[in-house]
Amino acid sequence: MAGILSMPYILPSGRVFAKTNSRKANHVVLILFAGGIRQQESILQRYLEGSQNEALPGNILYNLLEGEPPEDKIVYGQNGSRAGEIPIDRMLGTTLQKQGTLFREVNASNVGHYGGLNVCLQGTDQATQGLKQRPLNPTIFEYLRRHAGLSATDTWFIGSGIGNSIPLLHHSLHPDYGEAYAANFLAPSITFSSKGYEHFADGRTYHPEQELAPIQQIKTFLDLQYDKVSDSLGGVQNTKAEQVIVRDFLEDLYARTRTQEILMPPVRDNNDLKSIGYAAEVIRRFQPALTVVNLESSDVCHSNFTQYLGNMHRADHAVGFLWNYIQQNLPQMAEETILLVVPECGRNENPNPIRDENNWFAYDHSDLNSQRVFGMMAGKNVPQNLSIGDENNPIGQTSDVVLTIADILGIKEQVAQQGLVHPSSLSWFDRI
Amino acid sequence: MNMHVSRWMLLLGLLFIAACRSDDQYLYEVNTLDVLASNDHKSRQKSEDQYLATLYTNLYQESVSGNKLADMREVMASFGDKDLGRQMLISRLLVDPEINIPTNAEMRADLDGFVEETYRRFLVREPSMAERTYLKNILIKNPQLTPDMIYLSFTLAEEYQFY
Repeated sequence: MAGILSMPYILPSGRVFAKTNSRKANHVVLILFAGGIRQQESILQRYLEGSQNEALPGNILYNLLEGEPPEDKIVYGQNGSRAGEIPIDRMLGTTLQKQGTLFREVNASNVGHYGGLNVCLQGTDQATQGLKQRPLNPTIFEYLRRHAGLSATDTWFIGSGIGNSIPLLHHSLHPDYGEAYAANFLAPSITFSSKGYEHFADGRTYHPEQELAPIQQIKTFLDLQYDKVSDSLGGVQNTKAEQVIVRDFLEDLYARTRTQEILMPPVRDNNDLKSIGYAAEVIRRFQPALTVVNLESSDVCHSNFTQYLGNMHRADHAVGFLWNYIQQNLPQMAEETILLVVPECGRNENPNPIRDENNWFAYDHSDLNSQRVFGMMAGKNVPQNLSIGDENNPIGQTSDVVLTIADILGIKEQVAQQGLVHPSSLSWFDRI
Repeated sequence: MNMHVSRWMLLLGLLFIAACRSDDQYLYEVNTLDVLASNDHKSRQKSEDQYLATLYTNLYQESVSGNKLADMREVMASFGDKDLGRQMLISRLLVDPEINIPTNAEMRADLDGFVEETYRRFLVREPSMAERTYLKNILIKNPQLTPDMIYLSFTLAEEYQFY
């Protein structure tokens, strides 16, 4: 039975006190995995058996899951004499399945990427999410910042890209929450691309007191002469002190990217893998209470099943790398971290007509099979080597993610009391 | 009868005289004045594209290409803190030798001209007397302030976000 702990904070709202329950851990890393993947190729380990009518089962997520890899027709690895024939080495000595708790059959109530991501971040599917639209209900970032008094740099959303709504998911339009409680957002594949270097890097840096202070003084004077008609310029509002730190962080990353000093996964040949290296840098520098990383390269399955397998295998590599990075480089944080992994949606049972270079069918996501996903968690206070539910006994839903994170970080009651998460949502700890 | 004719003749004569009289010509001598907007009607927030295109045009004194605008938009979208993102973008543009910016010596040689030109360039209006005095004073009191720092303040100002 968890005790009650009251902790004072200065909230963005100006309140100076927020009561939280005891935490299960001080840090959460949520991996949104990995752009829509089928149960057949992930948790059920059917490889080509469940999709291409070839009797070749096998596990290609061997950092996450227990199970032997496929024995033939290896296409998901690195190129050798044949494309993809060299599987990527394991990152973890013990799978996350053994380290933690696996929910084998979870319901994803929305079968689109952005709807699915919204369900994971808002805890509800009751508001229709249009493309290029911010969430309508508060995200877990906003709940944490408002009810646990976290600063902007305590919450990060790392996107593998900036397609469609991804850059909009770090805060909602909800009138009681919104941008005042937004998380920081970063899409490293763009920020640290050649375009990023051309437009963001190597700018003049100003001394905080001698130069930035008078610049700010003049800006304040100009602002006083203008009766603005809107408070909103959009985006996260770091404090001035946080902005100095974040800018210093970005400039450091620009410099170290140039000299190739960013610690990346051993294989880094897609955007997901490059992004995970920068996610590790965010975690190292800020040790956020919540870091959400969206991996999405597996969505290539709309047109290329072979690349889908390869990118899913790489997403597993990315998760293994990040968990390993935290354990090896941030031992104090490692003891206080819980890792969550959940796909935002699955994919169809039946293929579309598109075939790839191996003459394999591609898959979209729109049917009931697309509502089938898994979920897992590992780390502090998570029961180890526990497997819950199966195909005939689904347990859990993707909207549970919000209450699970809220539970870990001590604000489950406060979030539930707002009445904005799905009525049937529960913390995964309450489903064990 | 003769009296009646005479009256008509007199009336016609008066009408003729009035018709022939030329209008007076007045010439008002006024100074030529550029009419610039004040800030009180700027109520529409610039979109990200409008902000970036205006910023580029104001700094380079030429319009931005579609490709460059798209690149800047993409980089801005990759970062969540729009205020800090703009700071980074602007401070990057301000070190580009291609931008049209006076030197520190030029600014200090003609503070009045610099203040006036800066208001016109970025806020599309004349500074008020109070604004002119404030900016001149702060430049005099802070010799470390350079034109790029003033430009940074103006392009981050709330008024610059609106049109």
